[in-house]
Formats: sequence, C-alpha cells, structure tokens
Amino acid sequence: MTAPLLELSGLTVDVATEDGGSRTLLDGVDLSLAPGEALGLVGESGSGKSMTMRAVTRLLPRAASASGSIRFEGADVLGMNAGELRRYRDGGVGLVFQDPRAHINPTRRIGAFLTEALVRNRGVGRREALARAAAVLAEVGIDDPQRRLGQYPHEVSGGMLQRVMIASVLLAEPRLILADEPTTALDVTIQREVVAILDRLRRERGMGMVFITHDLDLALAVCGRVAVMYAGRIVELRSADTLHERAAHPYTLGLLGSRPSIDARAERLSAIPGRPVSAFESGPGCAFAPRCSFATAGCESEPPAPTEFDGGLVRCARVEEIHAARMEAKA
Amino acid sequence: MKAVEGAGSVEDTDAVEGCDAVAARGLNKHFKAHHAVVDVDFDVPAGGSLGIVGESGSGKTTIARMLVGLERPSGGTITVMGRDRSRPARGARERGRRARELQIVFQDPYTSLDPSQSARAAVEEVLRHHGRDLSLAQDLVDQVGLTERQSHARPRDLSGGQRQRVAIARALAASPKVLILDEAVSALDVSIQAQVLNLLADIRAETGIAYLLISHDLAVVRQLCDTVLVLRRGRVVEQGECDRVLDDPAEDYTRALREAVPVPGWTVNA
Repeated sequence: MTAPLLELSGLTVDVATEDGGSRTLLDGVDLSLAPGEALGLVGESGSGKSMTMRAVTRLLPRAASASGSIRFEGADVLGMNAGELRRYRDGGVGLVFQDPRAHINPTRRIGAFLTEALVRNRGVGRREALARAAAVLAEVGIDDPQRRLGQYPHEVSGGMLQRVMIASVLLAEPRLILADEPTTALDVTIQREVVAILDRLRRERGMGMVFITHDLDLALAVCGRVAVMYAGRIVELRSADTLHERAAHPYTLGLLGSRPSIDARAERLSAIPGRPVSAFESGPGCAFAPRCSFATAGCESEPPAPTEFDGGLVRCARVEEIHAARMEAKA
Repeated sequence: MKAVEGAGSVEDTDAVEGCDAVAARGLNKHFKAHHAVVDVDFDVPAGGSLGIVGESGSGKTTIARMLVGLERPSGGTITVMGRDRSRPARGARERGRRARELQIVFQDPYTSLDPSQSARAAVEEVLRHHGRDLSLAQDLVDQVGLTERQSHARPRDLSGGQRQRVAIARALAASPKVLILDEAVSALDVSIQAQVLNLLADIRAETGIAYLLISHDLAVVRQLCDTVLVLRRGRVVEQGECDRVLDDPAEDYTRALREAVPVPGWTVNA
C-alpha cells in the first residue's frame, strides 16, 4: 500500500453568516487518493463537490473556515505557511476550471499566459519558457502551437482554450490535478477529446486527478473510483466499473434513474421528488431522508455512519433492508 | 395533475385547420458573410414534438429566434399553424395572435423572468393580456407543480427548477399551440431535470401542445421528442424518427455525436 497522495479526514467547512451564525457546507468528508489515481466527485448543486476542491487548495471564500485535516503527500495543508502554500500551489496541485475564459487574462497573448509562472516563479528564461509552452500545447493536441502562442484568448474556441488551460497546469508539473467540471461548457464531441487528453496525460505522467462533475456516467468513464456527494457529505463511494450494478444508496439509485437514456425512451423517468439541499439546510439525520422513498422516522433523527456494503462505502442506515427489498423485487 | 382547459385547443376562428404546427421551407439566415442557417426544412405536426440537436454554432438557437420573431429570415418561409411569419407582425392584434400560437421557454429562467414579479403575477399578466379568465392562474400554477407558497415568491427565492416551472406556466398562460423549449432543461440538476421532463411529457399528453425542443443533449431529445433534426454549421445533417436517427444513423456526424455521449461502458478513448 503506497502512501496516499491526498488524504482528507473529517473535512468540514463552515461559513460565517452576516447575523453572526454559521452554516455548514461540508460535513466530515473522508477521502483518500493514491498517486496516479483518478477519483470522481459527483453531485448536484450544493452537494459540496466544488467546496471540497476549494478547501484542498485553500481557496475558500473569506468567511469560510475549514476544520478536520487535509494531507498532501503527508504535509498538513491547513497548517501551511505562505511560502509552503505557494510551493504547494505552484507544483503540487493544478486546477482546471469549468470556464477557461473566466480564468485566462483576455488582454494577454496565450504565450504570455503560459510562460508567466515559469519565468516569474522558477527563473526559466523567456525563450526556454516559450519552447516548453509550445511543446506542451502540442501534447494537448493543438496543431501549430507557435501560432497559438501569439494569439489572444478571444481568437480561439472554447475547446481550444480549455486545452490551453490544461497545458498551463501541465507546465507546472503537478502531482495532482483538480478538474472542476472541465468539460461542462464544451460540446460533446469536444468533451470527449478533452477528457481523453486529461486521461492520457494523467497516465503518462502518473498524476493523481480529482474529477468533479454533475455527470455520473462521465465520471464513471474517466475515473477508477467515484464518490457521490449529497448535502456536504459523501453518501456512496465505489469503484467505477461496479457502480451501475452495485449502487446501493437511494440517492445514487435516484440519480441513475433520473438521467434519460440515449438508448430508449423511458415511459417515465423515476425522478427524485423535492430539490437538492445544502448541508446547512438539512436536519440532524440523513440529509436525503426528506426526498427518500425508503426513509423511516429514524432516518431523520440519526445521521447514518458510512458502512462497507457490497464492496463500496455507503452512508445509509437502511442500506441492507433496501438492498434486500430491491433484490426481491427484481427476482 | 389537472389540465388547463383551452391550452393547446384551437381558439382563434381564423386558424388554419389540419396543418402542421410549424413548417420551415428553405429557411436561411445570413449575418453579413456568415451563413448561420442554410436551406433548412422541417415540420412539427400538430401535437408533435421535434428535437433540434446540434453543437455550438450549429444555428439551432437562430432558428428559434426566427420562429419567435427576434430575427428575420434572409430567405425561405416559416409558418406556424399554417400562417406565415417570415415577416414581422403588423400591429398589436397580429402580435397577440402570434403569441397565442407559439411561446418560448429559455435556458435560464433567472434572466427571462421579471425579478419583481411573483409566479402568480407573471401568469396573471399574460392571462390578462390575452383576455383570458384570471381564475385560470391557479390551475396553471398547479399544473406545473408549484406550491401555493412558491407561487407568491419572487424568482430570487426560488430554485432553478422552480423558476423553470414558472417560465413554463407563464408560457402556457397564452394557451399556445406550440412551445419552443430552448435548452430549457439543460441548466437544471439531474434530479430536477427528470421532474421537469416528466412534467413536460404530461402537459403534452393532456393538452396536445406541440414542442420544438432545442438541445445539445441527445438523451433529453429522445425522452421528449418523436422526431429529431441534426444540425451542423447551419445545415441539416439528417432528420427523421428519433428511434431511426439515434439507433441507426445514416450520417457519420450523427454517429459521432451519439458515440460522444458518456453511457455505461463508455471509455474516454474512441
């Protein structure tokens, strides 16, 4: 067993409200990522998937505070001083955001964007930095990299700009990539190209990757393991290749039933009633209970602990009964 | 769920009977040298449901904008309920009639709803404008599954799915024969998207309204539509019954679109 690249234990994020109170956004997240592993974080609005990533990079909103522990290669991220944090962000983790246009300076050429960190933080010469940038653009599948270096962001398509963002992350040679909905704004054919590039580079360079998405099937295709989040907690964690057959948490089952299939029209989608909630909106028990067709009175009062079930980790007090009932219904 | 009377029924006396809900012939739109829509033909039968799929820049939204009169076609014709609308409406009377024929629901209900208006007020305003009975507002709000409390809330106090229900109720208040859904479920959470798709299927079954769904999502099109039109760079790649086009595509582009959708067993390397 190799030492984990990233380890979260009991990670909790609270945000202070204007009236002096506080709201919980993440509630006790435990997660471990091995070097070179790809892990998917899947959830709907308010599930805490993006907040997890912001906590890992210490990019939380000002009013928010994190507790619990985040360890990157054994180092305590929450305890890092400014210098350690800079080195961690420079070469430890790389971030790929959903909308590259919002994260790349529109007034500077792509070449300047790609080489800035190398020149300023690492003392690489400008010519050498441009050569490296061109090489990395070629690696992410961009033809004619020399010409692209001289272009401005508005001159290239969204898919191309997302590749530029991935290239900028690669230039820092991180051990971990955090990709937050990196393909959500892209067309499906471009999405496929971009995830294929991420996947290839991760394997070639042995980087770990946390892939955040609302699209469960995309996460299953890209990642080895997938964590399903709901209201600031991980409710189910299992290997991607068995999730479709073995999904056991009622929320995971609901997500699978909600998504229309491209292969056949469903008479009716098995929609989950109600709407997704954030951690601070949920009661003392299971946050999913008010929407869950299996919930009993006990579910709303007592928070369920994560338990091993059928090769995965499931946070549901009634998982065994529900599983038995489903198997019976199937037979 | 209760159907609202009048929704989808033929109300205007001069409506043309027995025609398609929407028909486009040789439709073109040029923006200077850019050809956004080129020689597009399609029909949406009365009570039918057509999905227009395509990627960014395919021209799908331009088609919707021409149908609602936000753009004027450069060539060809579009008819809705048998009446031409290739030219701007002349006068309030014709605009009113066009509104009773066709309504649109946009992707982002936050920018398409008046932030100071409750769901109830938005629906009543449309009913009043079209001279319909204000008491229908309650039925419309019920039909889209909004609670009493939600129907009095402002858009900012509602979730994305609830706002989209308001936008649907508001559109139905004009009792249109055709509803354009321009990426209307794309921005919703998966569990909410399923609710709204079920709702839209129910409304069509109850009222016989026709849908023109504009979407990049093939699975959503299959769930809601009878026929599909695949658009690329302004041109029709292929069109036909959903089952035929999606299960047995005649064109490589349709096949590539379909194969790019992540499904169980899908891997990242083509």
